[in-house]
Amino acid sequence: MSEPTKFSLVKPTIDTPFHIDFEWWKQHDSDWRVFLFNLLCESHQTAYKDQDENVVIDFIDPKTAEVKSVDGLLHTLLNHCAKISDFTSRDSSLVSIVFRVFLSNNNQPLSPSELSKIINRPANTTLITLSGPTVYKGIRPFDKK
Amino acid sequence: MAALKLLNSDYWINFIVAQEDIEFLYNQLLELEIPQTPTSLLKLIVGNRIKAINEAQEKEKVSDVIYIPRGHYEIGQTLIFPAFDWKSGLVDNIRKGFNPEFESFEVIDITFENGDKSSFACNLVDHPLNNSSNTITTDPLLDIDYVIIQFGERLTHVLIENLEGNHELVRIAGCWFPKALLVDINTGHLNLAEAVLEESKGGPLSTRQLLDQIELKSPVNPQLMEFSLNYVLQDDQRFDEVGPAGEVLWHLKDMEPEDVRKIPSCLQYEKLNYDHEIVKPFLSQFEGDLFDELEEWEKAKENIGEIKVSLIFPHWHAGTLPLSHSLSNLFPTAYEAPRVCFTFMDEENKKRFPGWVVRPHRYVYGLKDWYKTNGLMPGSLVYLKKGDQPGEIKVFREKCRQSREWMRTALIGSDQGIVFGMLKQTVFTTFNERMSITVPDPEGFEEIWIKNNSKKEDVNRIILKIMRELSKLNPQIHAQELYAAVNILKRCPPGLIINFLLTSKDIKHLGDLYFRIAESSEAVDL
Repeated sequence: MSEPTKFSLVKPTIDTPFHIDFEWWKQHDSDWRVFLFNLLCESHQTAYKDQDENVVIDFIDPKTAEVKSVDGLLHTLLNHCAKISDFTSRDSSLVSIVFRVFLSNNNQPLSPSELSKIINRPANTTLITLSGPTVYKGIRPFDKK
Repeated sequence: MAALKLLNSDYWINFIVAQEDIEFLYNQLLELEIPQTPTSLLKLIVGNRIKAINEAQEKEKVSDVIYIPRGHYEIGQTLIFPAFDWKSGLVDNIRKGFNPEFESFEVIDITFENGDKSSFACNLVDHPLNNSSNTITTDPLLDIDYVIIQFGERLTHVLIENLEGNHELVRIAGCWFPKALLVDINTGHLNLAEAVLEESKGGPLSTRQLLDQIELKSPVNPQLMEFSLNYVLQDDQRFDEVGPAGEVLWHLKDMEPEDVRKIPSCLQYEKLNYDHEIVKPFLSQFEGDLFDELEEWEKAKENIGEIKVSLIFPHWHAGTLPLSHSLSNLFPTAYEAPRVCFTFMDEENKKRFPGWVVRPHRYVYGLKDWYKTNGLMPGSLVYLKKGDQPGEIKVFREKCRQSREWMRTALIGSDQGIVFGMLKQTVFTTFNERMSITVPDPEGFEEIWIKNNSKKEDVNRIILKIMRELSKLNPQIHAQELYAAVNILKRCPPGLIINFLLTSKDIKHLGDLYFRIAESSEAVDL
């Protein structure tokens, strides 16, 4: 397992990119898989209901049919459930919406300023929420390294 | 599915001509006894290579199988993977696969020839690769037409490079033939050819016409006789091959017009370096009909029907046209000949007269008398289009409605410098308003031109001097007007003028292509 990233000493601004730091989240929240499971769509909740929570699936490349072993829950969530059209609008809290936005865009880093345009909330409010002492659902500044 | 062993995708990209290929070509040429173009030779080589590969495959009878996801495979089987650059690999292991997206499938573990390992789905009904055209039984890289279309340009280049290094083969007008098979033609025949061309005012005459006149006939192979005569004429300094691409015409070098053999003094230009990037956006603002053989920026127009050229003084005086990219698409060209002889036809009176494309110096010669007869001046518009006969160019002008106009006129001052004035002049043709300048004493300017060239006067100094003179008529000067005016004293591309206007501290930019002399510089005497 890779070493979780440390906190940056640089104070984030509205232009600092954030993302979901899954490694950090795994280390700090033992319920993270339960949370992810609840975000799956109905059919995938049924499919994964009887599987181990750390289930690995055989991802088949749509072009070459090459098989790669991937984290089943996370892969399905990122590549299928989070792509359903109303996925980002199913929650009302700022943190949950931001979390869903990152899942739906394959966890591409976004700054509070960019997020504010997507979620219709002020960039400053988003910045204050994400850069406070509590790290919500692993959402942390994106370390380019 | 059993597969042919496919060629590496870069087989034709990395193609090099081997000694066996040259030997094969040599034998083919001996058999054919007809000179061949590089394209024909390339087809022979590619065809021969493909034949050899097919024969080798036939011997090997490859029984490998192309991998497709719906297939069922066994441990120890060798598979070919089209999506992985047709690499082949061995099935090491088979296991059941799991993915909620697919009902049931298996996973095969593969070890490729180079040791890389990977896994693939099998017994999988629903995958796009199942319907892919990878299940081909023929390889396009073994199809001669496909290879020529896809790689022909590069392969021809590689082939010509090799042929040029081979001393047993000779080339004339783009065709190749073994030197050993050429018919022996002696000096007497060449002297006769010279006399025949002299009789025809220097030429041009085709090789066939020359052969008929010097009575050199081959009972066996007339094409070979033509090629042999071409070969010896090419090696003799008295003769010049002036035919357009695909046609061989001969002219006596000494009887070619002087301005074809030697670049006219007013078209001579010593290349000066300047920043092309800063001038580019301004050059595109020049107004219509401007073609300059010294500029590279102009994009060649494809399939041009008619082209309109604004003359500048050097071309007007030398009776030439600039062979810019667009104009070079209109005029005949050649594979090798530096000078190409063709025919101009005056659209108005249907008279025909010779023209010359001078490819190394990028100009077209032959219009001196036509400019004079039709009353053209620097700035006049010359219209050109392809004639009805191949290699013929129609030239015409548009008559001007008004016969007397106030025109910018270039005169020689008492200090032997240039002076501009507005004078009433008789005008015969339509002209470019910005570039029109009448020059009543062109010979006088030619003398100044020659002096300037020998003094090697700084071009920026000349541009500024002319700008000062033009400012006396109007302080706001358009770059295109300045371009036409500077070219009365020195051959200068528009880019160099724009570069001066943008970088000189003596010049103030007023927007678009308008400039003026900066106030601080007005008092300075040159």
